[in-house]
Amino acid sequence: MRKVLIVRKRMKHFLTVAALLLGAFFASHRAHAGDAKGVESFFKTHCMRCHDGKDKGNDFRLDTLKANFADEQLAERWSEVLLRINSGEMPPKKEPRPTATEAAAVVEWIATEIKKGETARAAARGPVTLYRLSRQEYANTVLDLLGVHLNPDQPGVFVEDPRWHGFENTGFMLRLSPAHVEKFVAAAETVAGFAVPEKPNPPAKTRAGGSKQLKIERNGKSRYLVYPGQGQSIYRDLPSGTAVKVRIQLSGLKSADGKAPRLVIEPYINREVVTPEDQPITLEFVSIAEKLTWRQLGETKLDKKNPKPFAEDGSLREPILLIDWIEVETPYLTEEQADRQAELVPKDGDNLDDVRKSLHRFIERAWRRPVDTAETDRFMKVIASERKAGESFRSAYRSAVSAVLASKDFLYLREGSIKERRDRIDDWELASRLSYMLWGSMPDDALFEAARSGELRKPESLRKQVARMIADPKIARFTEAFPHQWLELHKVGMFPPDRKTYPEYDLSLERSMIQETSEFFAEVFNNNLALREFILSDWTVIDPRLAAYYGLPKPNGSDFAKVKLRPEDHRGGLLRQAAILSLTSDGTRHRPIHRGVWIAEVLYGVTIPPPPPNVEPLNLLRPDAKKSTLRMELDAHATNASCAACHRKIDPLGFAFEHYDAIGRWRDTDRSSAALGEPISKKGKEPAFPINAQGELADGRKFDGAEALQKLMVQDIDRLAEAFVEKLATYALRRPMTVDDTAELKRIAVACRESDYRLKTLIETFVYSNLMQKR
Amino acid sequence: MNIIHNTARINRRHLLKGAGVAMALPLLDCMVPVLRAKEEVVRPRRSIFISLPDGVHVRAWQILEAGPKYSLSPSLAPLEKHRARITPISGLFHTSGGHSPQSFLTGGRSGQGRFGISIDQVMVNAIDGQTRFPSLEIGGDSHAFNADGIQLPTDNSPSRIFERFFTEPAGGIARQRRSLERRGSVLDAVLDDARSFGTQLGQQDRGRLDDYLNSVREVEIRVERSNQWLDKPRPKVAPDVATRLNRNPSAAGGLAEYMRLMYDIIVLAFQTDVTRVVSFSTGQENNGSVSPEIGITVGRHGLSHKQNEELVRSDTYNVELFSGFLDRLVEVRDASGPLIDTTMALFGSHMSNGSSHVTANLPFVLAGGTELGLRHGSHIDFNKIGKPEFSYALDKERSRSEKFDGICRVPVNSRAPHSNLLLTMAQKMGAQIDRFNNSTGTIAEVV
Repeated sequence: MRKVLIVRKRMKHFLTVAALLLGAFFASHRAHAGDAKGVESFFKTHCMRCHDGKDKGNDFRLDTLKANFADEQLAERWSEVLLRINSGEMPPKKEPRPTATEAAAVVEWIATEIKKGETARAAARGPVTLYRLSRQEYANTVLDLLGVHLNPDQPGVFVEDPRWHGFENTGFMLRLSPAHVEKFVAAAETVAGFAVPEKPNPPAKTRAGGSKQLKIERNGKSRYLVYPGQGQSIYRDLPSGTAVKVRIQLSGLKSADGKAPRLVIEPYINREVVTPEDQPITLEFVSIAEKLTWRQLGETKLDKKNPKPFAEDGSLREPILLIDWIEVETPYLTEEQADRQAELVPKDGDNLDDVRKSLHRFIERAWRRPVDTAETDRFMKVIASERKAGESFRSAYRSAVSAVLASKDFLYLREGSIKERRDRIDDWELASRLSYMLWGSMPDDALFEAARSGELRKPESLRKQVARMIADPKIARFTEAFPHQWLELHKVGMFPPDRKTYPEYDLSLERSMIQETSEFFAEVFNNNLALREFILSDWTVIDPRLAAYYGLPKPNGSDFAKVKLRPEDHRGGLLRQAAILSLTSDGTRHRPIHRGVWIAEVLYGVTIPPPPPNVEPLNLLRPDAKKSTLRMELDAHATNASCAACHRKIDPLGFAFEHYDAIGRWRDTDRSSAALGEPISKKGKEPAFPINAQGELADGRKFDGAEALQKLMVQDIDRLAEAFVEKLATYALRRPMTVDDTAELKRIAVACRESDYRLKTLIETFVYSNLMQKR
Repeated sequence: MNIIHNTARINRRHLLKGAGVAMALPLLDCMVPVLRAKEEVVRPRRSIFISLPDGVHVRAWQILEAGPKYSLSPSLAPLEKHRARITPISGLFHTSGGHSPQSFLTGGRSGQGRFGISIDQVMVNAIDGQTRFPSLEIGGDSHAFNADGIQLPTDNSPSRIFERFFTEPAGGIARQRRSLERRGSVLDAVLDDARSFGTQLGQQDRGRLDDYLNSVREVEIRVERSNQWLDKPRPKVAPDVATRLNRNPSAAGGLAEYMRLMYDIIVLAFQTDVTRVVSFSTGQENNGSVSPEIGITVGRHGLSHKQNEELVRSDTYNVELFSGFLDRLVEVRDASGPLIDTTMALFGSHMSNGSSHVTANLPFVLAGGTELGLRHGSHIDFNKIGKPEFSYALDKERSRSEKFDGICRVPVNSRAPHSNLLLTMAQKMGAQIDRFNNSTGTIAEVV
């Protein structure tokens, strides 16, 4: 495995294949020595007879093709070389044939160089770099700037951002088309509409009840009685931009056979409610969902026309909820948000000095930097022209606010200056880097103040600010967004599990699964635990739903809580969490190879070359599929020489988890590959196969089962820590790391080795590093 | 692409001052298409691209005989009544690998890693603003990529599309004009600000700023165009038709209700010339496209890995719905004749066998467009054109064969990229191009 895990090789010189053949290039680069011989002799033996320019009919010159992968056009030529070799088209049939291993080595060399070139190309920086906000960051920013609650996931509001290895905020991926700009302009108009309404729009509270049919009188109180499966709408058609505060007072009673009622208000509440009848609890939350309904989970066996939930002896046939009231307050604003909106608009619209001052202050906050008069003037012009067109002052001001929000300095984080070339960011840019990394949003007033005073980058002041930011509740945006993107949790449920085969799987389980992983990350972060815990731990964080799913004792209360794990629980570390185990499945079956690729790419930070196009597929439908398991077929696949070269490095990582199915459940026996992913048949017995979770890493270390592999991975913790720092840097700096960052990344990791790579320490060390202030 | 430093660009406020008498204004470049539209006498040319996610059951789809005397395969049987109007095509390929729905209209990655402009957008450029909406993208995966290789978003709500196309926005023309003006002054400020940013940016950053500038500029043009279109009323839709079409399908109606609703809206859009180019992705790759009404509750991705009878049923069902769409194109006429004569419809998938993720011998059926110069009636088989002695190694039951798997993996005829088909269609739409992506020529057999 070690061999694949060497990702970076320095390339200082750009040599042609001809020079490459002289060996000059590789001789000076020892890291390449292993690959070099193969690549070198491959081109000499198989390509140069025709592609050296002497063949008049052949204009695809390899002798002049520079190995400069940072150049887009050259890299494209190389990719064509790769494609031709990979597809078997080149060398032509009449020429001496390379062995599969030889061809694979050359293909891998080109693929790795192209990949490395990609980052170099993507990161080639001029004097100014622009990084567009992701849609989640946009929503967070308008919330902190103006108290407007945009729901970035609502259909039609934004275009989904493309990801780069899971990361949503990578600058070069976030391109714009007119369709994007139309949405951003429309979003700006929406936000401005809420922030500068024509007339003040004070929040109003209303009480939503339930329907009359649910109403009962008990012990002198009028309440709504809800049995399993019943539910009603709380509100619908909430315009994007508004938030609603929902409060609900209720009791929950267990049924005679001990079942507890579970209240579900997607996507905010999914919990058991058990209280004495006369001691109701009040739950509250802020919602930005377009519509909201509540229900008691489950299905009732009662007669729907005449339910009678109470038996004659007064005991309950089924669990019930007793709701007193549901209160809805909208538009909901915190005090701070209300103040933000109040200070945005000047009192006297005819006093141009006041107007200019207010607008100027707003632009500086929105653009996260000082602005000059000329800049403010451009937006004053909007007010003037709109007023001339007959609009009221507030309406004209609203257009100016829209324009500020649709302008490039709001949508893009800008680093560098066209006036002076600098290789470090300034204090304002540092403030934004910090806040977008840790809060997924703009800096607050204190951070702006530190930037304005020129103190921010001083170590003591920086430490003070970072400590303050980590202590702020907004840090939750980091502990949720970063693991989500780093671990590619967007893939959980991407192929919805087949309902027939996996009846216990539903959206609420899926949410719990994802939340386990982010709660786990937050737990490691908040307690500054060692990075090792991600690989292997004797605890996890689960809610009652997951406890039942994993077969673990129920945690106290209805929320997520930390629980201790025993070896026989078969859980621990990120690697045996249901979310991680299922995000690589295809909805019906688990996919060991994808699990292997995930571990290699996400945890080890390695690039796995894609399989050649139109490769001979794994024969899934062969007649004896009833007699063999997927593992047996994959083993056979790997005996094919052309596949084995790569697969023996990837597959074992996945094989370790053969005890876990497509949705991350433990299984004791394997099924035939024909039966895998099918519902368990009720008629006739299906043959059971023993599970084979053994494997051997490319470096010869052997293991049997997940825990054994995890223990081997813990030995690799130095490498895993380096890879983690790289992921963290990619997220914080919004760009892929290049060879130029390698030394600093390594330095950060090494500095944390002593302290066991504790997570918060790692993050702080990164934040205080040169890299954080480098352009 | 460069930042547009065109000081002579139209000042929208001048234009807007003349609101209502816009037609009397001097000819400005960006308005020409709208004005030209008025004078147009040629029948509009139209194209629609319909894709199935996750490939098909290739063996049941495959037509065995080449030329005019072919028998339709089991999956294509519902097209029997349209034989004279269709051309099934076998043997085309792309090389961008499985599960790349982006290849459907781009012909696959050009060079390293990227998808270029898609053929529907090439057509949009050729039409140049003669319709209120340049194109319509529907469904799961957008197949449309603009000239910068940026994927255009899709809409998959029938009622939203209906509203956008046929319902006059609330508040009347004056209010709409005012809100367009507002947007105009917002965009003016935004553009002025962005232009002030100088030209000394590095290549990469310029790329990002250019994306932004070009997009804002394009939106500005769209606002201008919308303003022009304000004076042209939207097509009147009979109330009963509006009631039938302006809604979202019920869950109980399954795939059929959704597809028929979309197809009907498309027919109406073609008939009223609201748009002329549609790309319709009938389901999301790897996810969904179930048809519970015929007992299929597993998505096409799941079925593709089973390559079973259910997949054949799903294919056939989709072909049947497509056949129903062709019925409508035959029935419904614009001012001069049936829509089918001027509408090219391409139906197929970007993968052949979705289980092995292979992309040779792609399944395609081309229909309609005879007035644009298409000829139909034969099964064009590039496998046989490339290798005359070729025959399909399929028995009567169409059971599995290694050889057949092979031709879906490696093209029999390496001079038949499916870009050739896309190029052929673009030329028929009036696009002045003679190459598209890796095309090697047009398909002479249909023109």
